[in-house]
Amino acid sequence: MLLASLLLKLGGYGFLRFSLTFLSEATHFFAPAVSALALAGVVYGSLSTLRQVDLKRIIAYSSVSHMNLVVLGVFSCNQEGLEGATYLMVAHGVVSSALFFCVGVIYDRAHSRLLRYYGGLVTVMPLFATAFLIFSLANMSFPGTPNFIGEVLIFAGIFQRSTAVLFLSTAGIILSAAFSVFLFNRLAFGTLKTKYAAEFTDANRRECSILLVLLVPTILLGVSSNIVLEVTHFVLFDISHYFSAALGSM
Amino acid sequence: MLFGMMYLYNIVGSLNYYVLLTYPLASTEQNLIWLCFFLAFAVKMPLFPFHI
Repeated sequence: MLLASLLLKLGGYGFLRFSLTFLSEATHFFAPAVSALALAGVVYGSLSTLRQVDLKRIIAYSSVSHMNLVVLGVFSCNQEGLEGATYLMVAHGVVSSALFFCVGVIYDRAHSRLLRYYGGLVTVMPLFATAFLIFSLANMSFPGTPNFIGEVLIFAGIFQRSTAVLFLSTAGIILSAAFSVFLFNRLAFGTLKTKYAAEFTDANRRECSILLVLLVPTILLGVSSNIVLEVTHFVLFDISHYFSAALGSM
Repeated sequence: MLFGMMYLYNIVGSLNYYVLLTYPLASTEQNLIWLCFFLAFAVKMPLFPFHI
């Protein structure tokens, strides 16, 4: 959980803090190449997710896809892209760790992470399925979740650089919707394996409290984005301004 | 990566962020240092070819 939520963002922080400020010319020089790599990563990460059978790997590959989108936002080098990248990093930290926690709840019950062994969990674990639904929708960048805001801002930033990249990265949205809905349907809906149904008790008090703690920022940040954005406005304006000033004097 | 930082320290003489901000770096050195940093960050937040 910590790895997905914190350590993945260190790379993004590094790009924001180091590459864009005192290595601006090199960033401008390499930006098309990195954007191409990140674009390939968005599409390839989402496509790889569709093939996975292990629950944890599905979420890990979806993290890869989201982080590649963040890199696309960072290397668009304008304020909207940077804000979207920061916001998506914050949102992904909450949602990804929540999803890993949900997988951990299931693993606690049945000690297997293979997707084919599960089905119909909504009948026996309704509270958990509700929370898992909200986190799955957030992973898919459903409007009303913070991932959507981050993604919209990133696309606003990319649009100012190149519309071709934008067009291709929207394939990432479609594929992320595909694997997210795929995962949730396979897990929560479908036929319940009645032989093992007794093992699937609903989320107990400890798990519910952790889910609640992660649910509140998901909904809150999705609805009111100013909480994060007004803190980051000045800093990111400085970085983007510094970048364009360094480029202008080049 | 660390080699990039050591090279940067060799050139600039200080790793103070504000000093680094105002230091003019030549283009080829900048590209080299950028590549070193980029490899580190690309592995950390999985970029596509380095995502494992």
